[in-house]
Amino acid sequence: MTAPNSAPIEASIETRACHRRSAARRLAVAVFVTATLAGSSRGRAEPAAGSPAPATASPVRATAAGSPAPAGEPLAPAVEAPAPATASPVRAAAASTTAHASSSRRPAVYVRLGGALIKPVSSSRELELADVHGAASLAVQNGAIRGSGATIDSAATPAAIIGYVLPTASRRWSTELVLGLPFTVKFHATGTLATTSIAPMALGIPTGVGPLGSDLGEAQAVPVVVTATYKLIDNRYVSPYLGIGPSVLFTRNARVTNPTLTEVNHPEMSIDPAPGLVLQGGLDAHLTRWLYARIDVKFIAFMLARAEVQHINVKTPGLPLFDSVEVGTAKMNIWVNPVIVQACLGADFDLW
Amino acid sequence: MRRELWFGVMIGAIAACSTPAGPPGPAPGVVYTFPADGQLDVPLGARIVVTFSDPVNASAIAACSGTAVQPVGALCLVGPDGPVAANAMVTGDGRIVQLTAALAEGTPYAVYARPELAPAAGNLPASGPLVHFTTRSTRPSTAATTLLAVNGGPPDQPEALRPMFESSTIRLVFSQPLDPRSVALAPGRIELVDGSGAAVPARLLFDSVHVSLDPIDDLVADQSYQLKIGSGLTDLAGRPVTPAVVALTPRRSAAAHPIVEMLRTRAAGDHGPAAPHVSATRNAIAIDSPLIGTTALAMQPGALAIELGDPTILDQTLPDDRKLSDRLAFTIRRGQRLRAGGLDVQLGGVVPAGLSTGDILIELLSDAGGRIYRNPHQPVDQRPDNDRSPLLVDLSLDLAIYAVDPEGNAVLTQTALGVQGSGVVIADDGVLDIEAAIAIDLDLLGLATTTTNLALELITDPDAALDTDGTAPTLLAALPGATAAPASLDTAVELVFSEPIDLERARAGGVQLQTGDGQTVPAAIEGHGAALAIHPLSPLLPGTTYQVALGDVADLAGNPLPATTPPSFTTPLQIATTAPATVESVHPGAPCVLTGGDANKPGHCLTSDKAGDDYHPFSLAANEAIDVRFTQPLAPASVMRGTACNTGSIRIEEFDTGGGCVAPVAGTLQLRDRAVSFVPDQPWQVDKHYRLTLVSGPDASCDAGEICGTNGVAVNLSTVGRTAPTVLARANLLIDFTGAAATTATLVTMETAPIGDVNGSGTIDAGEAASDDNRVALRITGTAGAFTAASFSVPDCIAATPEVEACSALSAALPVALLPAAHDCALPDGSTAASCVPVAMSPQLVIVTSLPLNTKLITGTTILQDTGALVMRLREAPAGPAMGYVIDDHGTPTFVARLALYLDAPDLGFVFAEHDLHSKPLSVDVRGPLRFLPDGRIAIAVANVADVPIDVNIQGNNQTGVVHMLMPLGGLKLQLVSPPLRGGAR
Repeated sequence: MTAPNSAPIEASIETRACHRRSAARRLAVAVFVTATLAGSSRGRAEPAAGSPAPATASPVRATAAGSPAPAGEPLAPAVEAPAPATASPVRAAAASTTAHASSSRRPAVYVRLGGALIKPVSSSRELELADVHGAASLAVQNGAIRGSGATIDSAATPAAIIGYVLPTASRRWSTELVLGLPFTVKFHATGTLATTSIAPMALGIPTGVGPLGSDLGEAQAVPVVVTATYKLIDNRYVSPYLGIGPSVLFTRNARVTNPTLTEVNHPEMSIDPAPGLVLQGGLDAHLTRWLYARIDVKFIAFMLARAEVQHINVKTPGLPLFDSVEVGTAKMNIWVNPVIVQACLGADFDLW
Repeated sequence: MRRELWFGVMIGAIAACSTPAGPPGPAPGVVYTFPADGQLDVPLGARIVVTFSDPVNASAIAACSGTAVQPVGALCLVGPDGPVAANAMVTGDGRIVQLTAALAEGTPYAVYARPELAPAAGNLPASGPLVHFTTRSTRPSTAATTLLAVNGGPPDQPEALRPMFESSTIRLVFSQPLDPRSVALAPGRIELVDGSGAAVPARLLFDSVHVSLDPIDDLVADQSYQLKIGSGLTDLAGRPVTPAVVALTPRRSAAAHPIVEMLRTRAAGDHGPAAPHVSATRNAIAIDSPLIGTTALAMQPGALAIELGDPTILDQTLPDDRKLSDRLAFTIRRGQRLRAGGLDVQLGGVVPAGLSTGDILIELLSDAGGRIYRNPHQPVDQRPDNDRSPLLVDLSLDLAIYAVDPEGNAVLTQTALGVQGSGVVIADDGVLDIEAAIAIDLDLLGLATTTTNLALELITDPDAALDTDGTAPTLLAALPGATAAPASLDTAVELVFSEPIDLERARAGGVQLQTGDGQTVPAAIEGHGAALAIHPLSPLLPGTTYQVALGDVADLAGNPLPATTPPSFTTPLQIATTAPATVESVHPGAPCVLTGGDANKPGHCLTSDKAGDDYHPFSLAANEAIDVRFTQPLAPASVMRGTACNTGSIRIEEFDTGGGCVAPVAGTLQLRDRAVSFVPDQPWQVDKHYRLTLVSGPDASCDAGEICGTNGVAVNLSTVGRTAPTVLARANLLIDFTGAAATTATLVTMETAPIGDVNGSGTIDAGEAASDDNRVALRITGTAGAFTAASFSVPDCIAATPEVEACSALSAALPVALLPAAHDCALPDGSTAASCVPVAMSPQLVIVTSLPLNTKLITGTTILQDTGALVMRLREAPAGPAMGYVIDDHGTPTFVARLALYLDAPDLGFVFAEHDLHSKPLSVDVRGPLRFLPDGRIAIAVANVADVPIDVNIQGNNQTGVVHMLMPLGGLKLQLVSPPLRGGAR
């Protein structure tokens, strides 16, 4: 990507520098920067807001101080160079943004790091049993368990927004990707599933199978969100925006945690990737030259998590003849429809 | 973090890590066998079933070799002497192997299955049999009668096969049939007492070797009971049963608080397993008998209420015994019933018998019970698995079988006690599916016993409704009755109802045999399905009227019998006679003293004059009994079987090839009113030589070691031999015969009924009533030579003809063998029947009562001469037995035969003259319908289909004369009736 010729000098210098770096390196730098800003374990302590960064502490600053350097050039000479406080590329990017605000040039990439609170606005259909066969079929049948349901707990996780400003004329359109650390979601039984036995009797004989209780299972979830955003106002200080896009909820390490369901064996739990439609709104606030704060609210609609628990075996203390029976598969269709609220800080910059 | 993020993004495309799916699954292999391992009292015709979890290698099945302990073959049925020839059939979906074989009575067998049959099987025994079982024996024996099994296990281990619960019916098996008159719940006979020694009220059921005790109220769990067998119980020969005491402690199954579950027969489209487990055809009764061919009766929709015990109660006393611990007990209360489709009886499977049973009902006579238990072919801790380790079910039943159609019911109804079933239980599709194989010994037409194999499949259905009985029973038939005179005085009285009645109410006075003046006749009441057999404890009195008072009679549901006229009958008079009892039939053999025999042939009847044909060598199939019939009752004390060679009035001895007596054959001699039968302890051995000897002594006096009639006269065994007219050529009757392989033919001795010459005097005495059903009419058509006229000095007996006929009464006993059906049968009249049931007739005789013959000589002299009893002897065909055929004559089963007869008048004598009625050959074509009597017996009423001329030539004093006689068409009427079906004669 080539910077427009009309870009400010600082920006063009930056652009030229980027031309001489590999894309991987650019990305690494960007991630490192954002990680630093997010205060990740791999970053260093973030200075207090508004405090000037130590002049020599950051290679970023060194880099920023550096004049255009040839590709592969060690950073050390730049570190050694005296760095004016405004010479950082980030600051340059911020300046560029500021400049853009006045000159309609906006850096191509921005990163916001922070935390995300995922609050499912969940509702579920009745839990369905499938593949019920064998002795279990004497007590339960395929189909919905009347009055049953399931919910998902809220969760919070560090999350990042990586945005790319589309090179449209207005440069108000961006595309964003939300990345977050996998977080644990817990599935809970509700209704009759939690409070009454799903198989109280078989052939008129009490099976001894008790209510499941609340715990059902858990999984690590990774929601992947890609949106296209549009800045409603390209204000120097505040930029509200709206967005829309697709989302997919991926999970891993799904497992059943219910003691009744795990007494005989560990059933297989799987959750299909759950797509959804993201409706997004937020506000970017320009705090400093290069620092932005963002409050972002997303609602992911139509996100139906289809969870299956296979090879469920339960003890039948009331029927010692059987000892335990294989129930089959339990299917949970849960409308996750989460509201994701993110608060983050970040910066805009050009990588080339 | 980047790595985390990256992994997080990618994980959605990665399948979740697998986790164990459940407890380890069972190994493939055997899932079911019938009989169950260790089962006793297995019916001889039971299908042996081995079911695997996966299809077997059918090509591996071949004839087995080796020894009893080391058989060689993929699947072997092994008896005490080694592998047994068996037919193997792989059926169902390739997982079921069925074996059928000719099993021997009371014999242990084992089934061996090897990996070649099922290479993947993981539970075949490394050595030793897969299952072992012992067959049923109803054969009388000289060995002491013992209690053989209690609830399927040996008396000292009554729970060896199945546990006993508080609701269990106690089912006993004895080593040989019991005398029904001795079977009672009484001290010294059969007692069930509790811990304090008090008798426990129970219903008593009995049939042959089986006794069932169904406590009126369920027993108390964990309490001690004692079953006592006393010496007052006797076998058919009157010998006491070996006393025994069996301790019983019923286990708790919570029968007081049962969980009632409804089961119904599974129908097409119902849930349940797709593949069968015990038989290719489910809910069907398979019948395979030479008598009625091969057929299957479909079970009709029906339901049973099953009471489940508490499944959480496990016995702690024997926790390692899976039979006792891993089970779900259940009880099916008495009175419930299922239906099967009707049977259109076809003799040999090809000749319609004109009998349709209508729906057949199978009713529980006692509380049935059983248990569902874990598969014994898998480790104890293996949880049930429908495919490889299905639950099994064990059933014990006492059944009444009867039919809707009155005639069919009279033929079919019977009791089947001690029925054992086992099967597979599949819980799937929301139903509990019970598929059980049940082998039931069924009497067919009163002529044969065959094992029917019922594959019963029931599924749970809460909405199923019981077939409730709201219909009152009715009395359908009685024997003896006004139209069915008793053949003998030791007969049982049979009552055929429309459905089973409550035996306990009947025994409590609801049914009483009484004399005509209302005096109660002590009797034992035995149930036979919907029929009762009332066994007088002493023989009936001749010339006495009896009635059966029907008081408190109700079916098992309590529906009372409506007001019914008490059936009554009068026993025939026994007119005193000095005539000796005469042998009427001998099987094997011929009813006459033989002469002219040698090592290769038995010879011919000793006659006064012309000898007849030599008989073919006699043989007796391994599964046949010796049967001898007489014209009069025998004095019981005179009928003594020898215990050493050449001793006793009846001798059944094994002979060596040199003609020397080896030893008497061990067996049971049964004396009935006019008959003696002998069943060897062991079946006759093929090609071994035996001899039957009946001793009559040199004269009429009844000396020791001679068989005598109740009139004190030694029996006459020389039916046609006379040293002079009316002077018997007394001699012992010796029948040499060889043992032969068991036959599949249906063997039965048909007797003439009713008979006129009740006292066997050879004449119709005053007080005796000749029957038109059994008579021969003779018409004198002319004379020649020395005779100018002849007539019988009796009234015309056939008014329908313009001529004058004199009738004689006939009596006969004819052992016949109904052979397997044949096709394109050549009939005596030259025609051909498309199919028929050949009937082999034993060369016996028909006794014709004497007629007064009046002849006038050319001299003008009139001679009145009694003919004496005439004898018509059935001759054998040149290459085998005399044959008849049952054919389908436009919907009527009809017997046709050409009877080659010898006519003898051994006691006819003329002064200074001789006649030629000695072995005088006659050929009589007979034909007549086969029908079923209201009491279920089969009657074949034949008549001659053409005139039969009989010329009596008389020669003496250089003169000859002829009396021309004719047996006109229809003049010979012979009605042969099969024995009573339900203990008519002990």
